[in-house]
Amino acid sequence: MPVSAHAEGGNPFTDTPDEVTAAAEEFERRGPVAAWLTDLQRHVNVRLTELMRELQRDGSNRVLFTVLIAGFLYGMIHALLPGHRKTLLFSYFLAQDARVAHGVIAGVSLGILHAASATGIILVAYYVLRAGLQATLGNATAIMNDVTAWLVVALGALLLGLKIREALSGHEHSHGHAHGHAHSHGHGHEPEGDRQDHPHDREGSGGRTLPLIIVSGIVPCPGSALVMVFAITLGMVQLGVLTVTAISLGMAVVLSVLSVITIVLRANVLRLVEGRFGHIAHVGLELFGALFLLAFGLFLLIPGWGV
Amino acid sequence: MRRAPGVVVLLVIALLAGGAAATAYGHPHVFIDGRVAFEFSRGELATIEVEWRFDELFSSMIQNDYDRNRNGRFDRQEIDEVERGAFSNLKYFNYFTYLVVDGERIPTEEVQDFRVDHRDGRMRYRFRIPVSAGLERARTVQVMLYDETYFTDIALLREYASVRGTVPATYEISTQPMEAFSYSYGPATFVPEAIQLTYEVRR
Repeated sequence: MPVSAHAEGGNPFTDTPDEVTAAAEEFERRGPVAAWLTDLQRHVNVRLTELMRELQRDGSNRVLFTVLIAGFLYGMIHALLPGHRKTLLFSYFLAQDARVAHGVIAGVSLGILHAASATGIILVAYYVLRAGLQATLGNATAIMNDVTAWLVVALGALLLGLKIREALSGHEHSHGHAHGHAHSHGHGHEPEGDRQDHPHDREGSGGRTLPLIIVSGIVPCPGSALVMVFAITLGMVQLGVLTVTAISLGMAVVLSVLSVITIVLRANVLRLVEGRFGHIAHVGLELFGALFLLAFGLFLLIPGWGV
Repeated sequence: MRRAPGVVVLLVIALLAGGAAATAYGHPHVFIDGRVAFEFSRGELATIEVEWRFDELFSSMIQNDYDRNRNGRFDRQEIDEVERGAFSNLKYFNYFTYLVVDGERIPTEEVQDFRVDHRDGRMRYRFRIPVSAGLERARTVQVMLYDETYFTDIALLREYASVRGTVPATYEISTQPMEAFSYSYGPATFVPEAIQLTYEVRR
């Protein structure tokens, strides 16, 4: 296995401590909310498997519907727990001026890709490779973690570069609509009291770099993989695909809502402040987001630093 | 609204930063219901048997990978393979079992008698931790089942502990908050629980 930290795939049953967590002496900081969510996840997990077994005996639409609801809940809770690229979405949308639609697209695509990747890997491992599922999933996760971590580092660096260039070239936040031609020096400080509109950002990196964030969701979702394996064991592959779809939609809702909250929050914070301080806040927020993205990518790459 | 105080903006940024940092932690994929048995021999604590019952999802993954002849149970050779492939590595993680004897932490370095079986769709691991010599005067033994990586969430079964063998004349089993392993999370403090056995040593 590559020497890397596995933010979403480290498995203490198979991986060395470097691949799973930092110093063994340090205990995970788990708050009461996370503890409560974990308990909830545990119950939904049990309920989901019970329902899938029940469906095996009684193939009624009513039971199928309940299974899908349980899957959806499973996905929501799963995505609320730490991880799942929430950090990425969060820092990305801090650094970027984006539309609400961007947030929804990012959240939904990430949720679906995360689950679809897991489903694909399990199906290929089971039917094509006929290899150990846990090992195949672990190896695929390790590779995808590495690739996407580099992607995140690159994206963070790119955004950071863009933001610094904008800041240095006198990109002011309250320049109104007259910003058609970017990067002219001495753009000046024009307190027009206008809404802070950013056609530059919106047409620029905001839309173009979104696919990079979405692609990072290709790291397989271990929860979906487990559900898929269970469905195969029950001899109900189609049910597995349906359930995983429900899970991915649950994750998509949570990730979208988080993205939209970040986007709206950012826009409102920037709207609240004006003048020189507003400019500083704007630049600061964007630099912080880009820096955080970069740091998060490095965090994923450095052995023993992952989660 | 014209100007917001700088403090507000700084607060919001700090909140966002905190939120980002808090999302960087892992989350569980495997759920275990656990319990322990304190095994006495000649009036002294000799071994502690740990039992884990896995959730059905992880169980089906391991069963699929290691029940190669698909006879619905783990044969001798398959048990060895499970041990090699999905247990031995836990040595790096203290076998998810933390021992504190009379307040002193004892690392879990050696385990014995690994067994795995399967019942009602759920896989069960059992193994023994030999209690090293010198513990015969112990009065309080605490066992905490915990995965520090948070990949596995371990809860205790309703009957979370038992005592076997030449049982001490008086003993008491309870769960105890482990202050030494506690940590703060914002204004709240989370304290993991351990199974605690207190007993009188026979003379």
